[in-house]
Amino acid sequence: MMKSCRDVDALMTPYVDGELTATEASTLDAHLAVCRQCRDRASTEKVVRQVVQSKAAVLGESASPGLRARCIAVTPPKRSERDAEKTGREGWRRLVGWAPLSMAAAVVLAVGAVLVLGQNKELEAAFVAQLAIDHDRCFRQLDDLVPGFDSREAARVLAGDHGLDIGVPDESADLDLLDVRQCLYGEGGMAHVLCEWRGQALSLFVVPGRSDPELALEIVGHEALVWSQDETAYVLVADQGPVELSLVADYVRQYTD
Amino acid sequence: MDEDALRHINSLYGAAMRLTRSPADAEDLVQETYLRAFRFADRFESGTNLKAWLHTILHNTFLNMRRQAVRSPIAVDSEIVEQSVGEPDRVQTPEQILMRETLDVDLQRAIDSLPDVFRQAVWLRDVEEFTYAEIAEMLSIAPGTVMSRISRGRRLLYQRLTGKPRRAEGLRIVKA
Repeated sequence: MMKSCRDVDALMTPYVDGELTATEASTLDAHLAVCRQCRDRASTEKVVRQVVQSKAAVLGESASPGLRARCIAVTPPKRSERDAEKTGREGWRRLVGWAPLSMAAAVVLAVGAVLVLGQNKELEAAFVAQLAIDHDRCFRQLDDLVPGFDSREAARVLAGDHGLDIGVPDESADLDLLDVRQCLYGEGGMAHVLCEWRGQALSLFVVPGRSDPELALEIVGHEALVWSQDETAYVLVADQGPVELSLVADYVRQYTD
Repeated sequence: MDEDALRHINSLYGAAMRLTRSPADAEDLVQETYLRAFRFADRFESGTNLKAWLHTILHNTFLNMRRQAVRSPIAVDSEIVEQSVGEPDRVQTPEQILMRETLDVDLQRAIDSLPDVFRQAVWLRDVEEFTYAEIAEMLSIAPGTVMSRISRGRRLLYQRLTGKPRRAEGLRIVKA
């Protein structure tokens, strides 16, 4: 019995895609032979598939380097990798002695939402979480650094290249400066100082605006401490556990008061 | 899984762009997708299609994000939309027109102009080459619905590309 248009409707897409069995295909072929409308439909759908398929490479999108970095940042580091990174960095450091590290190019971050401090607890937590992710990412990118960096150089670069007048704490027995960058989260104009406190990765973010009162947070596997002086907020971020952030804060305050 | 997963970033970003039609939103969507993928990595059955699994997460994340967004959602009643492109139009030799000269930018624009459900179905099938079963799983719909969305999506896309109004007789050539 000849099938109606309705009967063959479900076969149309797999027919166009060449995915019907021989029997099913011949059923549809028999219908198409006598139905102009379905024949046109099949040929329309086939040509659209061909056009889209043939343009798939052009239609595809490429993730930007920034997005790649963001996605790498959310990748959980394997234990072995993390250890290797650490030894790698220390090995390299031994090689150049304690020669200061240099500036990397400013990292420009594309962030959809504008988050600013001083609004409410929830927003601040989201903001600090973003900083924690940035902390991870920037430490992963430290390999790109070239030597030549200390607190005076850091302050000069931040002031000269980015117009950020920020007191960068000196290196000490406890504190090693690794790098400074400009972050463009929120309204921009934010400095990111990467350092190590007694060998532990630590970030100091200097953010325009105030956050009151002082805030201690545990967030996405990190600890953070936020405080303000005048119209500037300071955010310390470190992996949860080994760093006593209040000690670091006391040290940093000597340079920012 | 990490490196394998990151290998699909362009594919995910492409799908995210088609869903959000905004680079910033697409980037957020992809990052969130990876965040969830890594968090729920133990739920991935190794040996199954990782790319399809990531696209499933992307789709669900997109729905969540849109649900959370306060801005008025583009309420698409997929049933109504699906009926609106109902019966096949009477068309003749579509090959000549489409194959002749479809500019990439026109094609992109035409795809982006499709209602969400059709855009997604056509994209996942014709660009990403997922199977009906994979797409059905991804979108939590029946395989039959997947096929009918693909079919209607293609016909709709054809109309958008040729500028041919629905139910018009024959073809109107828009570009000389």
